Amino acid sequence: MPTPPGQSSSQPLPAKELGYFKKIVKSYEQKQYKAGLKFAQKILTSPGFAEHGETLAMKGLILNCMGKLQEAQDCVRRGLVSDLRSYVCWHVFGLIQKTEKKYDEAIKAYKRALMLEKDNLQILRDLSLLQIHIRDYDGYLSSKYELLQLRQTQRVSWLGYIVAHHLLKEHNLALGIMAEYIKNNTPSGYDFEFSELILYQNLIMREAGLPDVALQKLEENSTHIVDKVAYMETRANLLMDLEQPKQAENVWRALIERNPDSLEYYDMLEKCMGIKDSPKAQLAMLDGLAEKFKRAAAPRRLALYLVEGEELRRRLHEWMIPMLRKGAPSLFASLVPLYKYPQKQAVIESLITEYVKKMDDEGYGNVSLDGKDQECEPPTTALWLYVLASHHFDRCGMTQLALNYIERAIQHTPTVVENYMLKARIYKHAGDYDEAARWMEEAQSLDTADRYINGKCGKYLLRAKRSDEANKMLAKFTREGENAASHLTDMQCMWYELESGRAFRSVNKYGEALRKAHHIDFHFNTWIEDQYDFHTYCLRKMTLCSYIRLLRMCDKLRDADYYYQGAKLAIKIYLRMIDRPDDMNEHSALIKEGMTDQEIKKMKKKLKKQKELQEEEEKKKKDKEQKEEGLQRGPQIDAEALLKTEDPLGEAAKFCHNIHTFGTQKVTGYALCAEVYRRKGKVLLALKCLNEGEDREPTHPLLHVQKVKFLAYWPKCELSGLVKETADELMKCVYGAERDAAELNEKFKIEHQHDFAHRLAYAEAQYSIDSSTNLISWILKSIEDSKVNGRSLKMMIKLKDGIEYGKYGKWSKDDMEKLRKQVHSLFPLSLDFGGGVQHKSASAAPTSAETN
Amino acid sequence: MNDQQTNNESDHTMSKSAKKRAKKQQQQKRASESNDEKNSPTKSDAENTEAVSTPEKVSDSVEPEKQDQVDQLVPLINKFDVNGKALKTIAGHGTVHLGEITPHNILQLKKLNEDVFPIAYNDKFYVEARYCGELGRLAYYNDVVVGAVCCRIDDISDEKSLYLMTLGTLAAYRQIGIGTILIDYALKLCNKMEEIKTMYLHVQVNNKNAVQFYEKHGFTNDGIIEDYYRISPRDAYLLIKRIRH
Repeated sequence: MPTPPGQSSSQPLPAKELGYFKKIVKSYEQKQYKAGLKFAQKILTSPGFAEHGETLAMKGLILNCMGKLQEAQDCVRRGLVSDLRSYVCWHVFGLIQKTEKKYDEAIKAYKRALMLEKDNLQILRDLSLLQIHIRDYDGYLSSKYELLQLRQTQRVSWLGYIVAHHLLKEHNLALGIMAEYIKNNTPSGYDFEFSELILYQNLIMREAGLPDVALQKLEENSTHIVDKVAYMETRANLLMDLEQPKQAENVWRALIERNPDSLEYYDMLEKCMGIKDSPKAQLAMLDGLAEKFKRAAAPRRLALYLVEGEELRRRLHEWMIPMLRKGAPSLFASLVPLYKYPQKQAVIESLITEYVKKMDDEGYGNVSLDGKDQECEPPTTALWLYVLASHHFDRCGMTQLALNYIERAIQHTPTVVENYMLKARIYKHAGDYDEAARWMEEAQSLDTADRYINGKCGKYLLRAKRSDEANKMLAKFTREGENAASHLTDMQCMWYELESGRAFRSVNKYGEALRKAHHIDFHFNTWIEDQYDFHTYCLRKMTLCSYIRLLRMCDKLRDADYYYQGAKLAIKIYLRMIDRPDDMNEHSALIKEGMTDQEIKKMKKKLKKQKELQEEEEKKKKDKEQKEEGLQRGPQIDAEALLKTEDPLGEAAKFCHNIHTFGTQKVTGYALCAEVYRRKGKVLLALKCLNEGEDREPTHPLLHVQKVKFLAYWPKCELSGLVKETADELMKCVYGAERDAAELNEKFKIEHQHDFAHRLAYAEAQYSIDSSTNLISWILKSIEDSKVNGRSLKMMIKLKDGIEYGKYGKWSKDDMEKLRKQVHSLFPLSLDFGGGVQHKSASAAPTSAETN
Repeated sequence: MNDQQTNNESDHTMSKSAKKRAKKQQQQKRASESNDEKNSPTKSDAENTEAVSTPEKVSDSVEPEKQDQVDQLVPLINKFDVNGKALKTIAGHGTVHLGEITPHNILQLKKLNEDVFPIAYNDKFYVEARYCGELGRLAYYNDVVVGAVCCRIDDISDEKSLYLMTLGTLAAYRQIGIGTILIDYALKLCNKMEEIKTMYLHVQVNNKNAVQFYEKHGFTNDGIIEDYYRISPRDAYLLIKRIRH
């Protein structure tokens, strides 16, 4: 006989108070928190019950729901202390711990509660949810077993038990129970949930390595499966597993007939036809399908990537003309994969210039690009042709030509928003972020109802280091009367956090930049938290395949690119804290530049005033937030506090952990982690990361720098026992027999002398092992050396940043000026090297290299 | 958002100021007074010899469209010469539809007008155009803004009249029927509003194509108004079409 709440053995309530207590519970369930508190107060003020444990617990629970977290904690603790024998108190204590995200504590509390009150369904459910949430599969299984014992008639109990076995990879048990369940519960007619169950059963069978059984069951139940696409896809995959490619091929072809634009289907079709290595056969297959599906883009597009020369030209012609006429925005994007190959790039260029010439010669009112006399091009063809030409030359780094063409497009049709966007993009690529932002603002002004262009504009303003204006721009689409930044954080807007963080970094506000990086981490946490509700929801709705996918996705959610970018931002700032502590004072850069004392005084005064104003504003904001019933939304991360961390390396390592554990494909990620772990003295982790990087791209310049640095550090490592053995093993994997850092570096230099990024890597590595090195003139020469590839603006900016960081030795003012001049002549529009569009108005102050 | 609100508010102020302007218009012909009163539907530079003129053939295909449909989609298939003779078929599936002028896209109208007309309209023109409702339309060709029409309602000797402030198509998009779609829109508007008795407009005297275009659509040349424009040639024709008596 279960004990009803409010009747614990140690503090039983008399009838009247018990009535109040029941009302508290009821108010809580109906979310009438104020009423609940009132009843709680009535009990707590009656003589002898001021410290009534379960009442205090309930009161705490209600306060917790109202967002008064601290008060709630106190209340619940007091309740627990006064009534340690009450399962209610322990249960509530667990719930509170859960909201605090102390899952282990919460699980312990639930278990205590269950010891006092065996078989309490609610507590068991709460316990099982937390167990699956933290992936305690064994615990989950036993809780689910208990629940099944208690509620054998409930479907959810059975499903939970099956899922538990599946997750523990006890496939046979899972399948056995599933079969039993299906035997007793097969519906007669249409039933979506049963269909999902069948597909789930199939998933387990496949994972159990039983494709033949899976296929058989799938066919048996085919009438029950309502998701026909899932049925066909599963069937095709099973047929492939069972090595029946002919039959699988038929299914893939049927799927292509359903959706001829799914790239995945074509890929699978090639696989089962065994033509992955034969472009000719692939081409024949694609052409056949293109013939069959006249409107499908995929087979035509995929064919473009298989051919070259005249054939490519012919196919490109057929591909491009309809898209130019239509104004398909994806035209250039569809060509991008071809730019990897210089010959193919040349084919594109020759076609474009041919079209342009034809337009010029025959006049765009009469011309027909495919040479049909009776036809003429629609006027938009010329527009989109100029746009395509502009894209092309921008991609090839020929800024001036790109600008010429976009100018022609604008002259042709000045009303098109995309024209101005492309113009902005060209300037961005050329390094003039101010001009880029200017044109993006122009584009935005033409269509203020479009959020995409609004977001782009915000991003470009951030690139131009104009954070405040960016926020104003973005505020046009965020909640009214609220700071755009906090709203976008609420909306978990990742691109904004990242761009805004980088903008802060570019003006030396490292604290704010770190804060943004931590926001990204926070969002990922939130998403992982968000799965909690799905543990019950998915079981109830029977969408079990999706549920399993969700669990697996959450397990490696941080593998996402945004997380990597955010983590990189944070890690580099933490490293900077160690390497260049003076940088952390955001105004240090301003003061250094040979100002007079008076000027410095003046500026300091101004800065102080600014800060005061800012603080006042923040105070106002906080007051306002408190008014909103003290509910605190979003991440509460303080920029100043982040900068004051005692252990920047430890903080960086936290981010690193999330980069390499999920097996990221990014070689740069492993390089970055190796740097942090080496500094932390975590030899094995550093080596593991180097090794992983080595597996992916052994000659990557950033990985090379880490390899040299680690090899130089290696003799200092004092290892023993198993650690030493493992380390030696890894050393062999990464370095082979090479043990000399300088030699390794020299070899790298010779092997990659024609690559700018590799040259910089060599220089950085060299300076790190021998600070007396002088490679300045060698680097300067590399910039002008036409035999050296990859001398992109991006690399030049990296070089400049690296020099300022001190990675490439000590550069004198003259050296810097030389660098500036050289890069300027290569990239005349780059603001970082004293270039950019000059405006006549005095307000646009020319940016020189010094002020950056 | 609060656009809705401001929308309504400005709507009121707009109609008031429109009335004021209409009165001013009554005493007319002191036209050199303010720049924005002067309108020329077409550009006067060399390129614009082909102006907005378009044949009626295409408009035939417009007629069957439902009258109240704001967003009519019209396939444009032919390219014509100045006299409206079909020359060539246009490749692809180009279509035209008309869209509202709103505060969000008003600057597209401005870009268009700056390109089409030899005179610059002042800010007031655009402030009012933002909320002109059905008195204005943008013409989209293949989803690109290539033409526009803006009207206002004037009182002339106790008669309501629809005054065509601007009507124009970007140079590259002429002679495919867009001007006709725009003038048809304005004429339909007149038919719908029963108080409108006439429709009229000004054309710079050297713009023969425009005159020809409007005459083809039933306008009659009511003679020259001297010194209507500040640019040369300064004279304008007054073109009028009676809608109903």
